Amino acid sequence: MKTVRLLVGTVKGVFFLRAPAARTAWQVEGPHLPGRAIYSLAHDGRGERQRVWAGAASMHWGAVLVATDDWGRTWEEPREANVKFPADSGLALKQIWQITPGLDDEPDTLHCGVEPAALFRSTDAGKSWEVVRGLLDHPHRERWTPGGGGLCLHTIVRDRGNADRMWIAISSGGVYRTADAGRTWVARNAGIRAEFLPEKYPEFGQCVHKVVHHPSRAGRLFAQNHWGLYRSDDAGDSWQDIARGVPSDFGFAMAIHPHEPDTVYIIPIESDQVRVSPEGKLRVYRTRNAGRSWEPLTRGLPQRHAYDIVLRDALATDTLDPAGVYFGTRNGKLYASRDGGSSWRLAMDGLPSITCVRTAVVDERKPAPRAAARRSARR
Amino acid sequence: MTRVVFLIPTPLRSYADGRSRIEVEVGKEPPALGDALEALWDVAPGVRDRVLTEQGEVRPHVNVFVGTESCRWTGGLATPIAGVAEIAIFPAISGGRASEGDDMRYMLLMYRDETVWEARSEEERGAIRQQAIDFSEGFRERGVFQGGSPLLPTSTATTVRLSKGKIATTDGPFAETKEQLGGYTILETGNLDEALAFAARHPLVLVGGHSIEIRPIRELGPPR
Repeated sequence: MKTVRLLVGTVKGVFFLRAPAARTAWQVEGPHLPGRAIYSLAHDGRGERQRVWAGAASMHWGAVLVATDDWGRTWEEPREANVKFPADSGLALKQIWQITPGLDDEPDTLHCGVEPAALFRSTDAGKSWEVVRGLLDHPHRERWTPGGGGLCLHTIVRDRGNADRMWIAISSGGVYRTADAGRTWVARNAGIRAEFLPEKYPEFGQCVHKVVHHPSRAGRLFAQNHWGLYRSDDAGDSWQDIARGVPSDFGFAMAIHPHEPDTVYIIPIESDQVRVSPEGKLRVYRTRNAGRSWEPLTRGLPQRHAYDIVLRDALATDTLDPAGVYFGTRNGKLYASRDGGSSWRLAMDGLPSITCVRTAVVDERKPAPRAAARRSARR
Repeated sequence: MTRVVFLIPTPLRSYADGRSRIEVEVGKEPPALGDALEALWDVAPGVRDRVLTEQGEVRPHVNVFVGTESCRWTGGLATPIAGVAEIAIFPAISGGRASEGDDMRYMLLMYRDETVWEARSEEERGAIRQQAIDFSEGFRERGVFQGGSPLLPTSTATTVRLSKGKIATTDGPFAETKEQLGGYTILETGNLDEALAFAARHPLVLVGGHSIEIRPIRELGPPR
């Protein structure tokens, strides 16, 4: 039997929701890691794993990566902080913004993106982490500037067909691509407008908020910017404006359909100065033709006096068919659609401010992971 | 050999075998806070990364009290601990401070009665000046002390103003006052309380005959 799990990160802990594949009723568990801000979550189901990673930040005690193999019954807290900047950088970790498990044929590789903007890599299933030097020492670094959320590396896109190629996105630095597994990086922002700079089309410095791609279309990327919706068909070498028929091209969240590479979801925000849903209507916008046109999805979503926003990682799809689409709001509401976004239901209300939503489809017939055995073996 | 007891806050006791108090021995003479912390990491290594960043600085929202004083005001990890019985680690209250980006700048204006000041010997004035400089420099690394200087006496001042439509230049300060400006300091801190705490420990205040006026700086241009 398959179940769907929702991994919901909030500013005050993690919640796990669970439903049978019909996705009509959700059971809630949590909060896990209470009191800590969870800006990143990832499910790692490679091989026999059923592991959830969380970037957990305490205002007082700093940020670490923690993991659970049993949906939160027990968490592995590292005794020593596991994501640390090297001494020569002079930098200190503030927040972990993104966790990305590696490709299927590199089951022990993970990346994480952090604030201040940097990329870390683990090749031993998360036991140890090392900063990716090529990006840490990038000459552009000194001219990257923090956005409202800080100077964060918040997006990591792997290329399923080429383990050496990868894209990352920094607010505010823009999109960068490597073709040699992180040794060298080039800014890839041609065509992306920087509304907030005197030079409108700089090489870098754009405030990209989210980049998504479909694994079956390696060279195609979609980007939601701090002003601007874009598509690239040449792996980021150039970008085209695709903001036609949306109430605002300002927003944070973006997600791609699991089975339709031309279907993308966004949740527009009125403006950078007025960060609420446009016209008081909470609307998801969907394109099914790679951005040539967008349609509002409103069934089941509040269309009067709804002043809510969705942050960059709080919109996600599952892998079932029809696909589930989920988003969590800053006001602590979690909405779920089980028909690709055509209709929505409020799955949960009253949560702390939601920072990220991830999904996992779990085959419950799989043998339970021997979490305890693995943990004791690591000591 | 110095013995000192660390008080461990509840959230960190899972890294300290559940203990609320840990006594350590420090061999170094004279002992400093950093030496005691090293001894603490030896017995409770998990506590270190929760208290210090990877660059070895006390985390911005953690307070380490040597006796009753936060080490932020006593020299950081170099704070002497001879004769201190307890060192307490606390989560800071940090009220109203959303992030480092919200730091305020303050100008501290050091006033004194010049006639009283000039009555001190040159040697004494030099020593006080040096104490004040050393004190301020101790805050430079953390970015709190942004700059400042003592000023030459008001007898060297020149004042420029518009008088009857013409620029007039006169010797001396703008106005005769009982106290005169003797120096200034620019601080960047999270709130006025931190600036007040800085001023309250300033050598010029402690030596007497000085007052420090604290003025928030009106920031121009886009928010920093």
